[in-house]
Amino acid sequence: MAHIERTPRNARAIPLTPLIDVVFLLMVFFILTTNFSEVEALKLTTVREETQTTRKVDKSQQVQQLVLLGSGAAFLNNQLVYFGDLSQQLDVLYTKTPGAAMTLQSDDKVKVQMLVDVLDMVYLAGGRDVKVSRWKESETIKAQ
Amino acid sequence: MAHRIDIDRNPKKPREISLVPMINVIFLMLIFFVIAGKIQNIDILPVDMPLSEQSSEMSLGKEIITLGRHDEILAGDKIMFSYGDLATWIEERLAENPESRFTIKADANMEAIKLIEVMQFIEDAGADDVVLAAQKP
Repeated sequence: MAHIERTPRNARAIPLTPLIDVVFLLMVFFILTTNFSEVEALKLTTVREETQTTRKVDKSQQVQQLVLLGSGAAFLNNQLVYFGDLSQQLDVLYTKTPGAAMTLQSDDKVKVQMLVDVLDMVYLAGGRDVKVSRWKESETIKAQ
Repeated sequence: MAHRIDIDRNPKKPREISLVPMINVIFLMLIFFVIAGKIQNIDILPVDMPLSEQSSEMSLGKEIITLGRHDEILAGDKIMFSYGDLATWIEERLAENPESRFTIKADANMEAIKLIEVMQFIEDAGADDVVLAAQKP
């Protein structure tokens, strides 16, 4: 029987460098394009200045009016309230009149973030029926 | 007479750096980003959305109107040069789907009255379902 001697084959090492390259590229792609912030939708309805006085609500309930000024002051049903006390005042209001409808008016200097902060306060106090509108300086506030 | 002593030393073998732990860590990071993150669309008009704590289970609508801080209006990916363009765009969307939800992306530092004006305009154009996009803090 013929015996042939063969040189043993060396096991081929798989090069890892291309794999690492691709994985690094994928990681950089995901790091740059990934977004962890949650974006939610906030229901918002508006009311015209001219129709807000005739807004239809349950007859037993009066529409509450909150005027926001860019200076940080607010008028809740014509009563001056500082922004820091607004949350507390809204709690008192919605404890007395749960489910009351509200019109939120903002002047020219109020920023979107401030409007959303106040909407949060109203929502946390229990208000659900809130409509926003513009407040014009020609409208007078009779402070009580 | 100086004697020279030769000491045989084993030549030091260069240590090989093992790549396997690094690959493991990179793979773990990759899996984390793939699972935990969402790929965001590149915004043509970047806006800082307002922060809101209100818990809302409502989803954002498909029709997105972006309001920039310099009075730019973007409907979908088209720049609107006038309210007339915006009205036409809204009518087209409503003709496709009368129950379309319109999402407004407004900059947090923009004046609220501009947002209210645009919202009133959208409502006047016939849209009933209008929401404002906000970020959770």
